[in-house]
Amino acid sequence: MRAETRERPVSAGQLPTIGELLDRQGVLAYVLLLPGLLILAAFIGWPFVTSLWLSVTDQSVSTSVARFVGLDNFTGALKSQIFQQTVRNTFVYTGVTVVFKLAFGIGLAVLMNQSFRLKNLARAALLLPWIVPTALSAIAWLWLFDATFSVFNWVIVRSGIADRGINWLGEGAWAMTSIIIANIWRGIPFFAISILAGLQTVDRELLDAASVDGASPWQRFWRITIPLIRPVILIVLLFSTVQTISDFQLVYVLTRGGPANSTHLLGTLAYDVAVRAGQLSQGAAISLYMFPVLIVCVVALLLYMRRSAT
Amino acid sequence: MFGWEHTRADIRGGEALMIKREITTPSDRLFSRRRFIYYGAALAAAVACGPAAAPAPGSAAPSASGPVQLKGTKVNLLHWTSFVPDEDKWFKETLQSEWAKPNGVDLTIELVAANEAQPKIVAALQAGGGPDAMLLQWTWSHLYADKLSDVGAVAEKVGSDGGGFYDVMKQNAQVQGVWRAVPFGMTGNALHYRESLLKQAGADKFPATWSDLAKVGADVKAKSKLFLGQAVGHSYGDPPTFAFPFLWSHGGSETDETGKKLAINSAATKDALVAFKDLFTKACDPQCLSWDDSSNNRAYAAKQIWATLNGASVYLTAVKADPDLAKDTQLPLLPAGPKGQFVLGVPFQYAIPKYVKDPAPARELVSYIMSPKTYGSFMKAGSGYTLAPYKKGEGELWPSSDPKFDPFKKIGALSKWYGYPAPPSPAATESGSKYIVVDMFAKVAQGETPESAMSWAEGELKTVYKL
Repeated sequence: MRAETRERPVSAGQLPTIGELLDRQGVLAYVLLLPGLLILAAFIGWPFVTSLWLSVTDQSVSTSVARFVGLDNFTGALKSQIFQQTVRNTFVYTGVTVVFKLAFGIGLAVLMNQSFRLKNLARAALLLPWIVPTALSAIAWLWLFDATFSVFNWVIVRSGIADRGINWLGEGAWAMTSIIIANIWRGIPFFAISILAGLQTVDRELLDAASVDGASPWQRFWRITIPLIRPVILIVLLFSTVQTISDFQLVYVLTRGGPANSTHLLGTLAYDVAVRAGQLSQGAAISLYMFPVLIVCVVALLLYMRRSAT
Repeated sequence: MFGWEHTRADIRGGEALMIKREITTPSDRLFSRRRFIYYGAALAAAVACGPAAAPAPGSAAPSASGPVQLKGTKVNLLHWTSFVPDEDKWFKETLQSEWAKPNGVDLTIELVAANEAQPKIVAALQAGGGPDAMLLQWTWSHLYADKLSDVGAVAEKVGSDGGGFYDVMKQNAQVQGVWRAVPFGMTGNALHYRESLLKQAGADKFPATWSDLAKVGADVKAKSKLFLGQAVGHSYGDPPTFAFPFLWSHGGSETDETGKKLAINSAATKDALVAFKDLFTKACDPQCLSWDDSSNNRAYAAKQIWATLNGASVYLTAVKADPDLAKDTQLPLLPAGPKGQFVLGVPFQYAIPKYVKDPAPARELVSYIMSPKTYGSFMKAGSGYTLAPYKKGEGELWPSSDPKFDPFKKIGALSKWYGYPAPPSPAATESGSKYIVVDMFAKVAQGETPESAMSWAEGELKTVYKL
């Protein structure tokens, strides 16, 4: 096959052709980035700007022309006891689940980092809760927590632990516990697999040297392994916090925010107010209360990544 | 070099090294990055222009006058999924074969669960595109009034042919004198109870008052270990159809008759909450706090409860699946309180959004469904689960010869609406959608004092009603 090269000298004052423009890496980079940027702008940027605008208007499903109302929707939300309870719920839910996911995730990652038979199969199985669509797994949890047909309650009663089962989704504290359990179950694989990847980068020689120097397994883990995988842990923590604080599906399927709003999160309350009650602007304001927390997480993440890079 | 040829192109200032890759074979030229971009842009343009360039198949010819041209039109109907599958079957099969096919209409019926209908409706109204006709629930016509067409001509004719709409149906569908929807019907809720267990506990008939129900419910619970299963969770039907009538029957309400003054924080509401606490503690079970509209159906079918408030679907299911349970089941309406007996059915209405460019086919469809002749066939198919919005429904169209069903005949006339005793309003609809009254009862069931629950509800209602 004959190799051929193309050369198109551009004379001074002559506009370059599209082909020649695309040959310039600077131009080509932006052309290739453009579809992604357009998608981001259309599906993230535009909705975000719209929600910002909605939150300072009195737009409802029934109003054709919205009026500017300043921060009324934000101050109005603060006065609502449902909103106050929802903020508390959101922080409890996020705080508790992230801590447990981290603890179990590290434990599981350490376990999966050992050599044993069917290790790869176990690692693949570990991902299942994370792979299964949330709505689907939430329905499975709904049945597990069902007031009448709960498997957990069947075991509790049949094994003689208690005369009657737990009111999983019908009592405020238990309902919160239930959604926390389901979230932890779903979130552990993300922590475990990410931390496992971090563990595999730890230099074995460092651990061996510490062992020779008389360090106990706990000391090796705490003084060597954890500091080395700290960047991974931090990033996973931040990602998980962002995902958990904006959670919706799990709670919506399991409790719809009930009983008596004891499991409402900002996402589910915003949905109820905006979609069910038709108050789009109030719903937008509620959802934007998540924004400061999320922005802190994102800035922390970016700062950390920049510091790591330098 | 064969294929990719790497040449050192330029070295500037001894810092940057740029490798230029030239495409040298025909196949490479076909899939070069430059061509990839050309093809991508062309494909995107084709996709973007395709729907606009091609005429919409079956688009309706607007009928300025004379009979509506249905042939070749397309109608998309958003409907709820009934708890009685035969009703869905009627829509998917009978309506298709008896109206859509003979008229040459491409009819799409989208069935969605009751709790999931509202997101679809809101999205369609807000986006300005979607179904040609949609089934609204409760007083949603008031919430979306500005975005719904005036369907007065259809509603008036349907009401007249059907012997007159019940007041509740008019209240729900008419907004400031304009028909924003055509009443479709109502699922009426009645208590379902097992007669054998009631008798076993020493009662000879079902209690006529709430206070008696608390006593009898406690006796049945003690004897059979089964409780009265009343859903008090966040769900569209059973929780509000219990909480509001309970409140009204004790004289309580969200606002006064004008809707301009909050009335929730009152002695009457406190009486209702005290009575509810008594009933819930003695006869119910805390697990009901998490129940939705299907939880009690399952529990009754599994004989885990002795009584529950529900549409007739519980009974109709038992007739087919468990005839003994059906035989043992009786269906009274809710008991009375000190201020009388109240009922809240779950009403439905057909709305045609303003964004529909040619509403004529959708109006024809609604007129057809709601004509007494067609509606009679629908009621028969559903064994009377959905009650007619007009008075002929309890007369010549009544589909059931089962005397147990007779209490349902009264529901149309007895039923009130969100916001009662004031006329329906967007605020009352919003309050219903936020489950404020339901949650007030749930809080008491969870152990809060009536005063605290009332005060909470008043605070939330102030925000909703802006009073």
